[in-house]
Amino acid sequence: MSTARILIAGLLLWPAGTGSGQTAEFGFGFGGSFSAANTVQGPFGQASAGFDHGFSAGVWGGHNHRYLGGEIRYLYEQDRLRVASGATKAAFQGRSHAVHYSLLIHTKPAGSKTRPFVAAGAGVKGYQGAGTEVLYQPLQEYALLTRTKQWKGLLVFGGGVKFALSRRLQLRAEVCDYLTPFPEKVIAPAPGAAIGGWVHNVVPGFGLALTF
Amino acid sequence: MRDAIRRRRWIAAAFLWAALAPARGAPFGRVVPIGGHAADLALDERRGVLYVANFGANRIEVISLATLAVQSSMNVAPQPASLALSPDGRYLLVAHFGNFAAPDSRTNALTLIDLQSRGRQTFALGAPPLGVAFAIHGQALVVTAEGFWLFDPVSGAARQIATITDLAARTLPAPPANFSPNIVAASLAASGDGNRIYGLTETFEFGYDATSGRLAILNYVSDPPQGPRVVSVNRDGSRYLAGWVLHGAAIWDRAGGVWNLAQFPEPEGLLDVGSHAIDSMRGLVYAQYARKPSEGGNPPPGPPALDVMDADNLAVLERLRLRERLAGKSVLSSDGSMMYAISESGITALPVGELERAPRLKASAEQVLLEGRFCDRRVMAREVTLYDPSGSGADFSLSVSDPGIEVTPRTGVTPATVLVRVDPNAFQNRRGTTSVQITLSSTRAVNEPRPIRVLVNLAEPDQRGTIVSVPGKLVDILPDPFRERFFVLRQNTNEVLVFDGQSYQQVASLKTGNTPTQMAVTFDRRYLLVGHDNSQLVSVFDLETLAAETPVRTPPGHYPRSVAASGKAILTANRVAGPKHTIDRVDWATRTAVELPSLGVWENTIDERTVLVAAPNGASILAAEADGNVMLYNANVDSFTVSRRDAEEGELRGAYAASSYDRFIVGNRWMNSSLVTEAVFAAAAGSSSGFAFVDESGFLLTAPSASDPGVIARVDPAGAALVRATRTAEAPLLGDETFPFTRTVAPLYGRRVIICLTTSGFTVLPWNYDASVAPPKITSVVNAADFTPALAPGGLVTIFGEALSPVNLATRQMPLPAALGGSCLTVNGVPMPVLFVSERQINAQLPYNVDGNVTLILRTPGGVSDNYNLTLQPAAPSVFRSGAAGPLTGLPAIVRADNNLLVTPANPVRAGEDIVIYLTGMGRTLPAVEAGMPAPAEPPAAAVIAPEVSLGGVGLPVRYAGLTPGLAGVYQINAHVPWWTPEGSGQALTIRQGGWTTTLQVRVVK
Repeated sequence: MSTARILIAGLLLWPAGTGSGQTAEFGFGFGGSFSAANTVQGPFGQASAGFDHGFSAGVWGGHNHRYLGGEIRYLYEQDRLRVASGATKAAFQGRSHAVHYSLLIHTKPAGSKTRPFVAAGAGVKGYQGAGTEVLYQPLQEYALLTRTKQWKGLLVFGGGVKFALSRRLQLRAEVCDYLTPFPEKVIAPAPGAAIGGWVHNVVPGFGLALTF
Repeated sequence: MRDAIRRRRWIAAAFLWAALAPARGAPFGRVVPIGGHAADLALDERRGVLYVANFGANRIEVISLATLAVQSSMNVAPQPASLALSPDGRYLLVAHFGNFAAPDSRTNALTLIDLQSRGRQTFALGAPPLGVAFAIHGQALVVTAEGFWLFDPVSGAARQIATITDLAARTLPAPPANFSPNIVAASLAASGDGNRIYGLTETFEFGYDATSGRLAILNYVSDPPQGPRVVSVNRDGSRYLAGWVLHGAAIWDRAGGVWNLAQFPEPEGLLDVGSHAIDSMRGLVYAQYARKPSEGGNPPPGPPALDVMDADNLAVLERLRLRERLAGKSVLSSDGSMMYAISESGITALPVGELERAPRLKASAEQVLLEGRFCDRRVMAREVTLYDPSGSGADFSLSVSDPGIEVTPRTGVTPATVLVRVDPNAFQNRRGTTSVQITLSSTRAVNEPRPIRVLVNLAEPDQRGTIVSVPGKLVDILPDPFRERFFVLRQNTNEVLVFDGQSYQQVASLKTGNTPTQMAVTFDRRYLLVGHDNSQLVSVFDLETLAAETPVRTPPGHYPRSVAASGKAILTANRVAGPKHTIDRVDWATRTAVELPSLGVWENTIDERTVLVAAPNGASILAAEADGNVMLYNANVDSFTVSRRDAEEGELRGAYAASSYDRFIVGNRWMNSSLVTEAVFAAAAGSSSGFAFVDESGFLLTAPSASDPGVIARVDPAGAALVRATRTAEAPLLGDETFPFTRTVAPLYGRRVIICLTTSGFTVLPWNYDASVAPPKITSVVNAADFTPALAPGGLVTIFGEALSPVNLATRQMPLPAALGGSCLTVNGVPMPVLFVSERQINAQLPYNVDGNVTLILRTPGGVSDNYNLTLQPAAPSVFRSGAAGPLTGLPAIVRADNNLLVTPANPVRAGEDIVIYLTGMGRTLPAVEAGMPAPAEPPAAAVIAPEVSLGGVGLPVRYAGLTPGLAGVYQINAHVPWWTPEGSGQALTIRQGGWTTTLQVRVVK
């Protein structure tokens, strides 16, 4: 599934319109990207595989009712693929694209100066190995960092706070956990090795949004 | 009727002459006649002209650099002999040589021409001027027969800085056909930076340093006279060429002195023939000079040629044809693009900067060795590529001196591949190596192409050793004292070739002085020393790093032909340009040599053809002289303690060696510590060539002639007798009249092999070459790709067994030889080309024209193997497992076309891309290719039986399946991987061909 197709599908999920009493919100933000490594069980021992810390950037469009809100979001992350064991480490250029819809529950009504919120949502995330292939990759007996793409289902949980800078401009600070099953084609376990579990990708960030 | 017959004879004779006359190439450069004799020239690049002193016509010709035509002439006083242009380009100073004998009046003078105002002043001189040159400070150094003067062109004042007392200038009128170099007999030139001026007169060389104002007499001229009577200086004045000698000049700095770095070999010393120029930018010397006539008085053959030489040691890199002889000074343009040289008609302009774009004819190989073996009497063939480095295409014509050698095509245009074919039956009674020359000529090429040396060797099974072809004139061999490597002295290119003692491949080349003659290792085993016949220095190389060190300078006129190092002293035996030849002692700290006042109680006078060799324990140095004398230097006494003459003139020649056990060898004589001959070996075969002591025993190498097999024998020290004489594959090097002593045996440090310097290069003999050898035994035959028994015609195979070869040897020859290291394989009687031999393994190629049930037989010096029966499939593809990545080995040779890297788990096959699979055993091809020959590129040799390839069950479209161009027995399949090919880490790649299938696992991603 290509990134464009996912974006088109996301737009189709966009509510048909914002009725009276609703406000629309469009924003963009930047932040970090932090992931915990997963364990690779190889035939001769263990290693860790996952992603290095990186950065993220995203755009979103949303609609707000009095306490409830919803938004569709695209998030780009750049963080290298990695496999490590002891002092040995192999890395490979990587990036990901996530598209998801999240429901936001605010603790204060629309129009308040400060609006804390919690969010939960779902979507898809595409992982991509983008490095240059070499003849031999260290620790390839555990996992192979591969120049390929793989889409995974995505769950998002998080929260943050919105500050009204003016009648139409909002500053947002938030932290979300992007959960996907491990992308086993991009970080492919070597024959005889196994990588399981989920990827917890914590994305803290700041953003600006316009409301209408 | 008789007239008609006579006319036909003349026509036939004319055709014969045309056929036999060597084709002449296109001369390099353009001649500008001046209607007289040019005496000197000066380049004025600002005005775009060249000033040429027309000696007899009393003119300064002004030649346009753009049109190379005489654009005007300045009439000046009689006999303008020397010219110089001031650094600011304003003044042209002309010296007039008017040294008429009484009663005629002398007309010696200087003319100063102001090139801006066109004003002229003439200054009378009391003595004949020998030359003028401007220094960077704007004053001209004027040298007359009586002194040195500094002339200021602005004031017209001249200041004498030194006087000359011992120089008698020649007088006018001169005998007919004498030119200014013969009459004035002097030359001056300034360095490119103008800081230094060097000059050459009839009796001495001198130098002037403009920065310090110091003038020094540097050298006294030698015999033969230093012709051409020309001086050339490099950019910074650190080197200059005077006549035929290249000097290093460190006189101006703390190192001090001037010494002979190199000289042109065999100069005749004609003052008016030749010229030279140093191209500092490219590190080259362009030179022409008169060589001594060969024996019998015949002049050197061929038209005049310009040698392009290495500026460090005057090694000739290329030889270019000239339209006429050069005859005086040369100058180079500031950008190095043009050289203007005085020549017979006036000036020759040589576009040396355009040399790379000039058509030239060259061959890819200097030497071709064709070895026919007892098991293969088929016609042998070898390809040589003729090419023009400029890429413009040069015509060529080839001639061969021996009818047994066929060359096709004989004429054509480069680039061209020439096939050299030898019918062994034409050489069937020759058991050594026969040397034949292929002469190259071209009408368009500006160079004199070097001939190709074809060597034909038809050794019998009892002739031991494996020949390794090394072109050039090889004159000495020496093993490294601590490492498994050895050194070979290549005299014609002035270099030491360093060879690995395991692979016998050349691993380095060390630049020596001119005409290196002999090597030695210092007693501390840290340095390699090289003596020379045309450089007055001993080259020094660090054996650890192989870097050149400061050389040892010998006294003026001393050419250290031989050098030896004992524990106490390093001695050199010198050819001396003087009344006697001497032995010098080296002062290692100052890297200089001094002549020993005496050799113990004996005079320090030796034969010119003396060779020195030190005992390995450093106790002594043996001096063997061709006139029959032998001497011994004792390191404990630090003097010569023995001098004897038990042989007649010419009796001592060939081998020479010294042992650590007070035993010495000269020729066939075995001598004790008093150099008394204890035994004379009955030469097993002709002349002695080399001897090497190993402990108390040793190896003696002899041969009747260069085209016969050699004979090597061990020496029994008890009875001083030769034992177990064994024939070698070819003759060792034999001495000549100039260098009668030879060293051709080098037992390597590991005592595994003995290297012998032989006709074609060197011959590798196993240490136990004379041991009774077991017949070979074949235990298994598999394909060389995946080591399975799948075999097909044309495929590469690996043979395992015992006693398969006496040596480990791989070849890079193409076509592949039919035998290697004395091992020769046949299948149903058809010889198999061989790539590698060792005691337990041989890699070879199956012929294309055998299949089904076949019989393989191996012949070695130890005998003949039992028949080994095989079954060959029409096709049996096997993918090479020769790939390696990190610690992974044995990877299949599959390459991703996208990144040209081997397919590995980290570099997987990607759906949608192309892959190239390298394999063997795909059988016959169209067009057919002979086994051992490199596969053609156009058209490529495609497999007759088309293979089917699938990956993960998906068929791959095959774009090409056939032999890999340029290789023998290696095939490739170029296939496309469709995008729907399934992903996975262990997808099955299957190749089916003619009923045979091979499968391997690869990783596929999308």
